[in-house]
Amino acid sequence: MANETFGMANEKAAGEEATDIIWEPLIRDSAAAESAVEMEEADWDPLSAAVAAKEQKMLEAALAKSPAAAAKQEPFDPLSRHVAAATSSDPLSAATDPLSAAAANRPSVPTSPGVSTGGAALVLSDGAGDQGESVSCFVPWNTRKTSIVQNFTTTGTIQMPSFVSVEVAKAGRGAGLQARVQAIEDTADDEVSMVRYNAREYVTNMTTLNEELARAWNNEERVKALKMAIECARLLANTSTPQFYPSLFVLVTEILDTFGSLVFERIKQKGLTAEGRAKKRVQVSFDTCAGLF
Amino acid sequence: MQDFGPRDVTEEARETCKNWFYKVASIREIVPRLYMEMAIIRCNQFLYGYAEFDETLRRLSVMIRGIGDPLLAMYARAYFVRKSWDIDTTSKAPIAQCLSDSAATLRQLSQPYWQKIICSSPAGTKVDMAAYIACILLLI
Repeated sequence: MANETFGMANEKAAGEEATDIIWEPLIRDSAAAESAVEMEEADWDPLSAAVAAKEQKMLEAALAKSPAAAAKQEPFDPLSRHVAAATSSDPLSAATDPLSAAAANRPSVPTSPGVSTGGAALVLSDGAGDQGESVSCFVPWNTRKTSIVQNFTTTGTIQMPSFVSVEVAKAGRGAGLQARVQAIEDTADDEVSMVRYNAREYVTNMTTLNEELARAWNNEERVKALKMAIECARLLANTSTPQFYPSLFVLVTEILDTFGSLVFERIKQKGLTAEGRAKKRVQVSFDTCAGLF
Repeated sequence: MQDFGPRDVTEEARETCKNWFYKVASIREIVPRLYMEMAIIRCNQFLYGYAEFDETLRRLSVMIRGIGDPLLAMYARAYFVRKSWDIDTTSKAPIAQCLSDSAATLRQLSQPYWQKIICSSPAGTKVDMAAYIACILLLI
């Protein structure tokens, strides 16, 4: 009882305190809020390609089940109309178009949908077609690389470490242990000198540098290769010429990739146990087998 | 892809591998260190197999946040995404993290200060900001 009254009194006090603050609903201008967010028309929808592919797939599945129904649908098929416009205006040729288009795309598809397995084959091959379509918008790295190097260039000069190939040759030929140690100390001690090049020279030099790194590596000059790779990676920390940076990024990551794969391959050759190698062989034969299928 | 695990690797190779990682880890500056580690990231397979890639990728994706320069950070992320795609296409979380970080960095990069730096070259060549950003995004 006492507790209750206490609680009530408490509530009352809280209520009195609350009367000091007057809560008012704020009228929100929803139109203004909406316009505050800038709406931009997307000019490219990543899903559209997938949707189109899906629609085509559905259409062809329907076609496989009932050719008659599909034939009725024909005039509304944008694909056939497109192809008809491209080839001829003959409505008869247009009537067979979806099939022939499918056959042209995938030569292995049987063109007789009347056969019960034909439908399955169509759908299956369509799956492969989907994959091809999604991959087709993916520009291969090599193409992209070239375009970046061509587009992002500068008229200024860029710094670059100079690795003289003479040094590699000298160090590589050292026969005795003494000479080798000497060579490593030399490489470790010498300061990396910086040279300035213009963009074109730079690209050529980086390409040679890439080859040189591989050569140094094969000449048992791993410390030097590591040093070269680190020096190249260090270049990326320099943003003094942002116009050239994309190209620089491409060139340097190329070198780093080379380096990474060299390290990986070496350790792999050195250290896989017999079991691991066998596993790999199994994997290879598995791949071959899958390829055959 | 999973052709061998840590059990298939000899002790010697393991040591060599560790040695490489130690060498790379001793680089003082963060940018070369990150890039070098990303370059040899596949060698983790010798030490831990595929189980540890997730953890390594997560660590790297967070480490890239340590790069203050937004331009450098963007490109480092681009390289990171490329490498992680190379080794493990199933690991999505670090890549997603990278992309969301990139969005923040991109906002920073679109500030007037950075626009001025990117667009004005010492020799006077004009760079289209939109093209520049698009190039970075395409890399990612």
